Amino acid sequence: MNGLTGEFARGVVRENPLLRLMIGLCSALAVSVKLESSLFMSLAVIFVLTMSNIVISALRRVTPENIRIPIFIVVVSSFTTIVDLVLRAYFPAIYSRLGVWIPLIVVNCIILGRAEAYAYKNNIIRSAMDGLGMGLGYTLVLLIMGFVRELIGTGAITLLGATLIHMGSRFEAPILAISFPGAFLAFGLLMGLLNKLEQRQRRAK
Amino acid sequence: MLKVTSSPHIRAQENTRYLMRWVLIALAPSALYSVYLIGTNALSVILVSVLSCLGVEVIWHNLRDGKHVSRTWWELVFLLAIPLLGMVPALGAFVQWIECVAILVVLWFEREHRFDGSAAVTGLLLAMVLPPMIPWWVPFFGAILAIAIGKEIFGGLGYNVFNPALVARAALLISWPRYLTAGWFKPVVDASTSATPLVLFKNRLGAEVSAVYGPLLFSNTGGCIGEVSAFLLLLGGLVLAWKKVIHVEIPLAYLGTMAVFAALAHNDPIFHLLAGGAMLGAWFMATDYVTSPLTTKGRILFGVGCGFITMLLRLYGKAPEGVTYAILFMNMLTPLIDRSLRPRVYGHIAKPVRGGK
Repeated sequence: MNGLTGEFARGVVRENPLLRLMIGLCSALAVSVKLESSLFMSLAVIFVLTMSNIVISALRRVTPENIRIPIFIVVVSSFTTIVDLVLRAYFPAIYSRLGVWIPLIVVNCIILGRAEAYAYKNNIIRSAMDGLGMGLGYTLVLLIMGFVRELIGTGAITLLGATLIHMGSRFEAPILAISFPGAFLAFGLLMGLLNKLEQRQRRAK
Repeated sequence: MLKVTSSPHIRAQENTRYLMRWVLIALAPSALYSVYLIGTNALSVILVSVLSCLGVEVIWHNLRDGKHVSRTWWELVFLLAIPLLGMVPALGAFVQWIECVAILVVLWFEREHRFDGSAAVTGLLLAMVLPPMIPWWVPFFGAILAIAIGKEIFGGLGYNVFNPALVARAALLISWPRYLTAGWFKPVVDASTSATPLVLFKNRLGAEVSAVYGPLLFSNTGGCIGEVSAFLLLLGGLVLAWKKVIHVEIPLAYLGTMAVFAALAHNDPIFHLLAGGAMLGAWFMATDYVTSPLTTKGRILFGVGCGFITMLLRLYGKAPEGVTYAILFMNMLTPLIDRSLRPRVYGHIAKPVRGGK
């Protein structure tokens, strides 16, 4: 794997922003309580991450080094505001559930981190691929956590008002899964599982 | 095996199995007495909890060490499938006994596995901090949480940060609060449920409860399985202290701090020492070797911290009891206490340590 595919694939597993770089955890742990909010949060992050990577990469030659962070913030906050307004206009129910986490994308470490570490030093196409790959890695982790936590913690999965899975009335859902300790537990177990799988793969080689 | 070490040498009888056997012996009177008073409910909680802990440990160790892997996977599926029998109406009431027998069968298959006894102690302690009138699958999942999440995932016995039984209790308390905060035992009236003395105390009815020490000491209070008799717990704790199985400074500092705090807050100190999980926590939970400090000074600090937080939670917290969270919190501080109170090596000249005093 080299070139653009490599840029894209890197963010999914090998440098997964949540499980490997361990940045942007705060909002990820908070919104992964439901599959639906995980999905919309992921879409918002993919959009903001890719677009701000593109713009920051395009402006990298004219950005003075001393004030680059304020410039990054202005770019990121523009896209965050777009997401914020779109969600508020078309998905008010989801917007109210995600609450403060949408505006807080501005200060999400993943976006600022990729801007500083990657987009500022690479060309537009590579930066876009990096943004998409990192966004996809974020999305995968969030969807797994959202699915598991909602299913175990509430006994059902609902998406946009439709109940997809229902465990039945005999299932007594442990509230632990949808509480904050449950978020840390699920995240830690997922990280351990990934490390275990990778260890096994390395041993097989 | 030839092992070369420098003198002096002491040959001691103590090993993990010996220590764990004594903890089990010390807990036995309380456990048996609660089974005698409460009946089959308590027996089923204790059996399910202890056997599940042993089963989870053996399965985890086999899978970790790559021993009998395929057989172990079948055992795991077998044990996890049995709770589904609860769906069958005719079997609903007997599932816990079927599960117990199934675990015994699995343990018979794994009889060459060397148990160090710690899983049995964890299981018994977990049962002691659960209400007796609880669905049987709560201790079952609690045992999985205690052994898998509380102990083995950190690397097994000796590496766990928190007391496994208390990890399980805290997780169960968050998961199914309505089972964990009800189903207490009230023996005298009609073996139905009632509020615990600490709940009554919390509701400002403490005055009438605190006047009677007899029930708290000898059995007749509502509470968890392990809370039926403070006297038997104290007896067990003293046996452990006499056999030098536990370090006596932790319970003394723990209970002493609680008494002083209660007296200063114009509460009845003796009531607070006898009610709830104070005796069980101070003698059996806080003294866990792995999760308590190594030095005498550290252990005293640990006990004082536990007692202080317990009373803080009891008097000013939302929930009636605070022992679980107090001990878990101090478990977390144990590495810090050990590092800051490291004894000076004899002959070693102290020099300013990075980050030290």
